[in-house]
Amino acid sequence: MLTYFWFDSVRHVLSPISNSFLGAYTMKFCRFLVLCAVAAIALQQLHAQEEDVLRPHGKPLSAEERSKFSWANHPEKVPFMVGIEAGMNYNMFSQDLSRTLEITDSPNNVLKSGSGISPFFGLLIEEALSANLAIQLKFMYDTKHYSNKIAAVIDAVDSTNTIVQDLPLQAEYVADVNYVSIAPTLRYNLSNDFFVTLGVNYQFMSGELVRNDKLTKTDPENANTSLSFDYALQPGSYSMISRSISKATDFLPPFDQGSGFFSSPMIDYSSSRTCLEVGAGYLVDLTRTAALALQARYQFAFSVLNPSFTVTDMSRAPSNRSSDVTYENAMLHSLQLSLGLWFKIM
Amino acid sequence: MKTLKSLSLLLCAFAVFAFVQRAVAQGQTTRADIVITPFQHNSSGDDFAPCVAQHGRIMIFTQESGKSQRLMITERSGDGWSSPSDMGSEVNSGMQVGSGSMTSDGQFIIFAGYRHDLPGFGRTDLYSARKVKGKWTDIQNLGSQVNSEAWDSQPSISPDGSTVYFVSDRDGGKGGSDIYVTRRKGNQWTRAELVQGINTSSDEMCPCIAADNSTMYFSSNRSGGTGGFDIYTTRMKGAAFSAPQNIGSPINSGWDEYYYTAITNTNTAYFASDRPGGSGGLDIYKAEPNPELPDAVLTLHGKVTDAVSNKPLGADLVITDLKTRQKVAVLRSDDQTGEYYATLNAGRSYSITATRPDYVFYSERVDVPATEKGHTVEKDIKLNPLANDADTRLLVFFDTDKSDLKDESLPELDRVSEFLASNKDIRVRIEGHTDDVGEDNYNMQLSQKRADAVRSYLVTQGVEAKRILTAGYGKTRPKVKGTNDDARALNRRVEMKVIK
Repeated sequence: MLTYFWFDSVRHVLSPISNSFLGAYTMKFCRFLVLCAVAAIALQQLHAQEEDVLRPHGKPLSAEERSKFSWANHPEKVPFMVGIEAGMNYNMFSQDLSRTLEITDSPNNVLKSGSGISPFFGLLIEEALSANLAIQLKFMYDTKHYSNKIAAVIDAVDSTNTIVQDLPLQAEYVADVNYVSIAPTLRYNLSNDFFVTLGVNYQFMSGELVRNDKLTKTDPENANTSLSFDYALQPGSYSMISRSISKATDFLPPFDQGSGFFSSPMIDYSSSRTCLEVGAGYLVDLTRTAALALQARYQFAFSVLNPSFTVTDMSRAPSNRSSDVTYENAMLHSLQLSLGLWFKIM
Repeated sequence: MKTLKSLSLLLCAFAVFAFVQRAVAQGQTTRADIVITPFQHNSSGDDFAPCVAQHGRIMIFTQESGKSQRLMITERSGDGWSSPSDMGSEVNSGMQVGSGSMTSDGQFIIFAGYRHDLPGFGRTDLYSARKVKGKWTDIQNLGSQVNSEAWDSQPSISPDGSTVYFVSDRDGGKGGSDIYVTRRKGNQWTRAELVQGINTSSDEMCPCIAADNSTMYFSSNRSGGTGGFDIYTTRMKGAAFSAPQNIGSPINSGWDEYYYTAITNTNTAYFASDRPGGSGGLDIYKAEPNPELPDAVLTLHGKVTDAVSNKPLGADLVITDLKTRQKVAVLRSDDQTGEYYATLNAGRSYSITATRPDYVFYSERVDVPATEKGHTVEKDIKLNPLANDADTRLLVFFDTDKSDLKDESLPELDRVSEFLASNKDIRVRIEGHTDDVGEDNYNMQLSQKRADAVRSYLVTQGVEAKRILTAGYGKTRPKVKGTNDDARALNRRVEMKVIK
C-alpha cells in the first residue's frame, strides 16, 4: 500500500513537469542534456591523468578517493566494458480527461490511469571517461504492460423501456506495447560500490500498442434491465463485451444509437518517444573482470503516447447527461529494477 | 576400569585439541611478531619502489611531487636514513620517472620513464643510467628488444646486473600486466620473455629479485589475496619459478601492497602500501622480521686504490664463476671513494677482477662454501699503474707437481689476452714461482714449465709470441718469508710483469 502511495505521489508530482516539457521544451531540454554530456566529457578528459611508472592507466584518484572506486580492489580506471541486463518495469500510465460535464462513474474514466509489470532485457557498452565517470550506450527490448479496472455505471432502461436506471459495470483494460530503445547514459560512481546514472532513452515502437477492453455487468439484480444503446449487452443475452484495439480512442465501444451508428475517433499511437532516465545502482564484484549490477531507474517520459482527441461520452445520455471528453497527455512512465552482468574488457 | 576409560577419553580429547591447534597454526598466515614501521621520509604524496643497494647503505625510491614522480636517493645515517635528494636532472628528466632498481654496487640503475627527454618506443619505457664521478649520467633506453609500444615499467635488476625482470601490459601476455625477463649479452639486452610460472590473467607487478638471485617478490591482485594488490613470493627452481605464496598478514592488508624488497643478509624488508594511517598516498614501510628470507649470500666489500698513490679508483669489477667460466657479474667501484660491493651466492668459487684503463688488472679468488650463512668479507684491491715492471699475480691453477693448466685458470688467461690486445705497446714477462718444498732444480724446471704453459695458451688465443717472455724462478724469489702453509700458498704463484 505504501508503495502504491509512493508511486502515486511520484506520478502526481512529475505529471505537471512532464506537461511543461512537451513540444518545444522537450527539444530544448534534450539539447541541453547533450551539451551537458559533451561538456562533462571534455572536462574529464582534461583532468584525466596519464600513465605513470606504477600505474599503466594513470592515477585517477588519491588513496582516499580510490576507496570510492567502482571496481573494488582495482585502482585503475575501467577502459571498456560490455554487459547484459534484464529486469522488470513497473509501468505507470496516466491521461487527463477533461469534460464539459462531470460524470464520475463513466466507464471511460478507466483510461485515466493504469499500471503493470513487464520485463525488459538488452545489452550495454561502456567507455570510461575517468575513474568515476563513464558513458554507456544501452540497447534494450523494453516491453510495457499496464492495465486498470474500475467500477462504473451507465444508464439502462427497464424492460418497459421507460424507466432509466443505473446499471453497475466493471470497466477494465489491459494494454501492451513493445519498444526497441537506445539510451546514451552517463554513469557516475558515488563510492566503491554505488553509482548513479543519467541518460536519455529513445524508444521506437515494435509492432502496435494493443489495448484489450472489457465491460462486465456486475449486478445480477439488474438482469432484466437493458442498455439504452446497443453495446451488445442485450438483456439476457450477454453480461460482458470486449474488444481488442490498436488505436487510441475512448473506452466505450461503438454502439447503435437507434438513429444511427455512433463511433469515436481512432488516433494513431506515436511510433517513438523520448524519456529522461535517472537511476542508481550497486556493483558487486564477481571477479576482477565481471561484476553484478543491481539498478533502479526511473524512466520519465517526455513524449505522449498519442495526440489528444475529443469524444462524446454517451454513458449517461438517456438521463440527458452526455458529455464531451477530451483525452490528452497520455503519458507512460516506468520504474525499472534490473540485474546486469558487466564484463570489463582489458 | 572406569578410571582407565575416562583417562583414555581425556587423552583422545587432548589429542584432537592438539591436532586442531596445529592445523590452525599451519593455515594461519598472520605473524604477530612482524613489526611494521613507516619509513621516516614518507611524504604527503606517493612514496614507493624502495630499492636498497650497497648492502643496505643506500636506498633509492620514487616520490610523487605535484603530478610528477621522481627518483630519490637516501643514505643510511646512524639508525635512520638521511634526508632524500633528487637523483639528478639527467635521470629525472621526464613527465614520470621512477621505479628504479640498482645493482648491489650502487653504480648502475635501471628505471622507468614516461615521456622521458630521451625518446622511447611508445609509452613508459625502461632506461639505464651509470654513476660517473658521483653523478648519474649516460642515460640509455634499453632498446627495442626490451621496450615495446606498451607500458614497460617496474624493473628489478639482479644483484649481479645480468638479469632484469620488469612489468609490461604488452600484447601476448597472460592478461593485465605481466612480469617479463631480459638478460644482458655483452652490451645488449636479449628479447624480453614472459616469465613462466607466476603470471596469471590478473595483474602481476613490482617484481623484486633478491640477492640470492633466486627469491622473487612481486605484487598481484589475483584472487585469494587479502584485498587489492598483495605481496607474493616465489623461488627459482631450476629454470622455473615455484608456485607463488602469499606472504600473509600483517604485511598484506585489505589495501594495496607493492615493491617488497629484502635487505641482503638481514631480517629487514621494505615495501609500499596505501594502507590507512600513513603520510598520504602510497607510503614505504619497514617490516621486521622478514617472514620470507632469501638464501644467505656472501657479501664482498672493499676499496680499489692506486697501488702507488693510494688514491681511490673507479674500476670495473668482473666476477667470474671459476667452474663454468661464465661472468656472473659486472660491477664497478665508486669513482670517488673506490668502494665496491658485491654479493656472491653460496656453493661456488669465483674470481673477482678489477680492471681500469692504464692500470694492470688484478684478480682474487673467493670461495663461498655451500654452508654460507651470510657474512661480509672485506677485500681491498690495489691496482698498479701501467708502467715498466708493474706486476700482478695471475689467478692460474695447476695440479701438484704438474704444469698443465687447470680449467679454472682460463678466465684469467683470457683477461691477460684482452689486456695485451688493449695495450699493443707493451710486452709482458710471465714469471713462475714455487714454494720452498722440493729440490731447487726441480722447482726451477717446474716454474719454467708453468710459465711456458701460460705463454702457450696465450699464443693460441692470438697473442704474438714475441710479446711474451717467460721465466722460471723456482723458490728463489718468495713473495713472503716463512714456511707455513699460508706463506707457501702465497709463494706458489705465476706473475705477470709489464715490460714497456
